[in-house]
Amino acid sequence: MSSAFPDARTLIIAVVILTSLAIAINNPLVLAGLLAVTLLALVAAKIPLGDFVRRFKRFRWLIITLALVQSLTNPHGQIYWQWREYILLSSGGLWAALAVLLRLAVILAGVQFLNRKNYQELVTGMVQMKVPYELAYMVLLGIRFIPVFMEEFRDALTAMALRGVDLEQIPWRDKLRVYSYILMPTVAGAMVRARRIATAMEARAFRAYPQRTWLEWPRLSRWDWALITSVMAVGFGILALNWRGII
Amino acid sequence: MAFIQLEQINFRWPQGPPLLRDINLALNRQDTVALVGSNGCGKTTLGKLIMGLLSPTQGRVLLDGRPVGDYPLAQRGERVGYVFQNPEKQLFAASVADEVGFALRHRGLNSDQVEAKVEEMLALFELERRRDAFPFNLSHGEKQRLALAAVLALDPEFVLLDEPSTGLDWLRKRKLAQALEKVGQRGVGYIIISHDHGFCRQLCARTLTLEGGKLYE
Repeated sequence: MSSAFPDARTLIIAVVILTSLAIAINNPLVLAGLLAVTLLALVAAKIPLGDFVRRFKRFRWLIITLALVQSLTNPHGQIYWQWREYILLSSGGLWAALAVLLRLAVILAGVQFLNRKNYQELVTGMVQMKVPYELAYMVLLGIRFIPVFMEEFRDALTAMALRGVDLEQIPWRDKLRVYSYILMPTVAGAMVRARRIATAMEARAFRAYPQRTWLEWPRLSRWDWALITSVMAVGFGILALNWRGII
Repeated sequence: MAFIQLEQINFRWPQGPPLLRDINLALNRQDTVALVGSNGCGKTTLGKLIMGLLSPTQGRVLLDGRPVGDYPLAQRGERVGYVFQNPEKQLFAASVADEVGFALRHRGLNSDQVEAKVEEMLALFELERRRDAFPFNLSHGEKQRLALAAVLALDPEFVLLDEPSTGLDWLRKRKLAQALEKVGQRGVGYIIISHDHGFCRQLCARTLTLEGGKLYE
């Protein structure tokens, strides 16, 4: 049975290659090109860019912090700002910060391709790529849990504020103690939920037999093969040029 | 002027059909009110609108004459206690006694005052024997009572309870009802969001029904 184009495996391979390129390449100009191609591909695949923008906004503080750290730890080139012997801003630092920003943008945009497939299609795709079923299932379950975990954290913050504790008003030393309180329901809630899911899965005979029956076992279409081949050829080509120092 | 006032409230989720339409409601400090309706009719949403946790698409919610959003969340929580549908979501301390005393310690009360209030609340909700227990290990009914005790420890002027009787057997329901009767006797009004008509009839002087997005009394 042939699945709707593109197959989950095609998307997984494309995302792996895209993220590998984003990690391997340090040149901001090449990364900017990679981001532009990724965004165009998202538009072509009719995946709303709004999701990418929202995700980027959500991680903005982490991204800004990483960019600042990169800027401070790469003090070379033209110096723009110096305090005593410490170089705070330099062209090398800015270049490195820009590379981090673009790298994370490419990764966040690339992951959006997986939104085209549901969770079961992705598990099937990973198993077809010889990833052990339990591992594929656990990875995707883990990813699915991240928003749940974040929601629990937000709920705990709201619950605490509704008890009259204004986190913005309390001193820093107390703030740390209060945050340790918030971790308790979040972690306990996640553990309770994980235990319930494990029980429910076992009750439905998860791993009871060595072989599984698959409702759908899609085959790659010619278009999938064409896309995989081109993505791999372009990806490895760029990596080779990068390793040789041409780009 | 009512303590809580809802004026021409309309609400819809993004890309969703209208959930609440032209809702007007006035709640006084000592009112005991039941908000009933079938599953998914918007009772919890209306509760969250009252608390200012959601913003209406149209209309406004006033708390003591001021838009509810003008109060910081912590101040809202001090004035209107909110007991979540799932009590586990609002328990975060390592022991029952710590759970009740948590917010009091952040109000600048000394330890004797906190201890006295904790004892009073544990006695009121029959949780004395569980004072050192880990809140997550309590039964559902005990968790409900603990959440209520922790909220009432702040001496709110009004309490909003979302589905407090869900999952409770008759004995635990009776205990919760007794606890709520004591709340009413202390002069604190409440609104119970529920589809348990029997439970509400026993405890509330007013009944509001939410149906098709409209509120009927």
